[in-house]
Amino acid sequence: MKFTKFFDLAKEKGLTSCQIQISRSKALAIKLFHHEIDNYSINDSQSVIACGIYEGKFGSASTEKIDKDTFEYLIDSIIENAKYNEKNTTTELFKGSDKYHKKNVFNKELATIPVEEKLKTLHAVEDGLFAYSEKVNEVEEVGYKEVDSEDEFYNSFGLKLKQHTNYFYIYAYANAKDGESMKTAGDFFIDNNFRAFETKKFVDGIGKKLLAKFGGVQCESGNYPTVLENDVLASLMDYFLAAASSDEVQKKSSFLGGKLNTEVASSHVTIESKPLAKNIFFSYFDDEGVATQNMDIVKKGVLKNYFYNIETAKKDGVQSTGNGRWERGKIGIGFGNIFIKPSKKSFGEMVSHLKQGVFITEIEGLGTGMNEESGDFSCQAQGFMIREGQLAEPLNLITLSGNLLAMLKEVKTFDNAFKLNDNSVSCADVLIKKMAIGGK
Amino acid sequence: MASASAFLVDKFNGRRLQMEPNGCSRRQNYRYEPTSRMSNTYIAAGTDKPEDIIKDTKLGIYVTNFGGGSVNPTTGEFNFSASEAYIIRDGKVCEPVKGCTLIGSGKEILMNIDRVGDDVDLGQGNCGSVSGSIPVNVGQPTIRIKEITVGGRGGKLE
Repeated sequence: MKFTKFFDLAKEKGLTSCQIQISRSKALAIKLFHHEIDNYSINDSQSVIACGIYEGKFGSASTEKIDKDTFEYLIDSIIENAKYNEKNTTTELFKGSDKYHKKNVFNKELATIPVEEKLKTLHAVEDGLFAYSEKVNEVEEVGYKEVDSEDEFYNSFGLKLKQHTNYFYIYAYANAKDGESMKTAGDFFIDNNFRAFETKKFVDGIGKKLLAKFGGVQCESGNYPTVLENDVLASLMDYFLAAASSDEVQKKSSFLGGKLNTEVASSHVTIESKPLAKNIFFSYFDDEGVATQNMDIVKKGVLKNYFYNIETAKKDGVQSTGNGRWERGKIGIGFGNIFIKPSKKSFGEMVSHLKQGVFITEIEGLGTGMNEESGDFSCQAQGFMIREGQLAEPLNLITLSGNLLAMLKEVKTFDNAFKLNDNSVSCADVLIKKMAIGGK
Repeated sequence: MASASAFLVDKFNGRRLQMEPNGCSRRQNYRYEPTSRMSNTYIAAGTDKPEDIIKDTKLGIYVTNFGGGSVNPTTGEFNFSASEAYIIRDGKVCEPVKGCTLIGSGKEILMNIDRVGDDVDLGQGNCGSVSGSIPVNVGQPTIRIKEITVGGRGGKLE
């Protein structure tokens, strides 16, 4: 597709500046059920999103239909959209950053591995789970997903940016039955190096998790020293990070408002935004063409930065941090590749001094159990008691409640179980001084 | 005692279960494969007056609005967050409670229902699951559950 035509036509129709982005993605999804292929889908899609300034006002348009009329359609829609735009905050588009940190993160091998091999791996996971124990009575889902995406960005100032990424995702959920008691457990693996997936390790992880749940009880309600497993912490941190959006802060709907350069967590907490880290979530430019940058969000407990796009940065008199992201026809705030600094301690060392505590391994219902404005939350949880520094009886049907800020202020330490989660937050298990657990 | 008398069965899963489909195969749109979904589901009315149910409760929680929740269909374990709730003391609705979550196992909770009101009311909403988000009509009368786990930061209810 020749984009010069788009810019020529835009100029002719009166746009003073404009940009266009095209995203192409090829996705493969396979699901097994009872040793047969339950679902096999190939999904090739592309979409174009463009925006521009017409008579001093911002307008945007997008389409998934790409043909000879696309450019004209986009430009006419931008003009129409701009006419109705009552906000006059964006009056010019970004020209380009001085420097971009482009890296090649595309894994060529992944695309060349035959589907048969991927299928074989899925079968091995399913067989492995059924064979793990007699108690395993169903493997509900075993699936593989592979996505190859290309993003291109052009603007009327001559900026050209391109990125090509890919990843695969393997997930499985199994059920086990012991008498009347039913348990479920699952896990996922995400990477772009297919050779990094170890079937036995994956299967054993799910199997162990599943069987450990039998005999789960409720503990006495109360406040306990609490360890949150890395993926539980990652889910909770999603809401903390969303509160670090300058847009939420400016709308006064964030509990981090007015807290820049103040203590928002214990001194053990350092949270970094690293879009330039070389992994599957790498990204070197945002949706406004701004170069992304690594930065501290929280350093040793002190809030150092909010996520900015151009418009919110202008309001606060600062520079965009490269966190502009399309959100329903306008540029909102997005973030990814967050790193929470772990420690060198093992899990055993971290909990060794705890006479009594709770280890939370799964939470459910955060979507409705979290108040995004205050950071107050209450959700369903499972895990284990910790007694005399050791994991003890499993806990089931308990609740975990707290406030995100209060929780982070009570962080005692992290361990070294550092993991990249599918929401792009990398973190280890964390020990919190006290959290409210509901049970008996 | 009540017993389960029928399942929702769609054509595909009906074949797997060797059961006749009963017309409950639904999906959001062509992007989803249809599966068995609810459409118009409610708990039937009982004979209690709702005000009597509250009057006869010494200590409890009166939940008047749910924010939403989720269920693990295999284990039947669920969580719902109450967006509006009050403490009942000596048969009277007292102070409001904020941010509490109700959890339990469906199987057990159904057995623990000890009062059912005569005030069935239906509400409309969207239900999200593997075949997407679909409009549903759901309802219930005022019901009392003998005991349920309620999570929050306030500690034990006294």
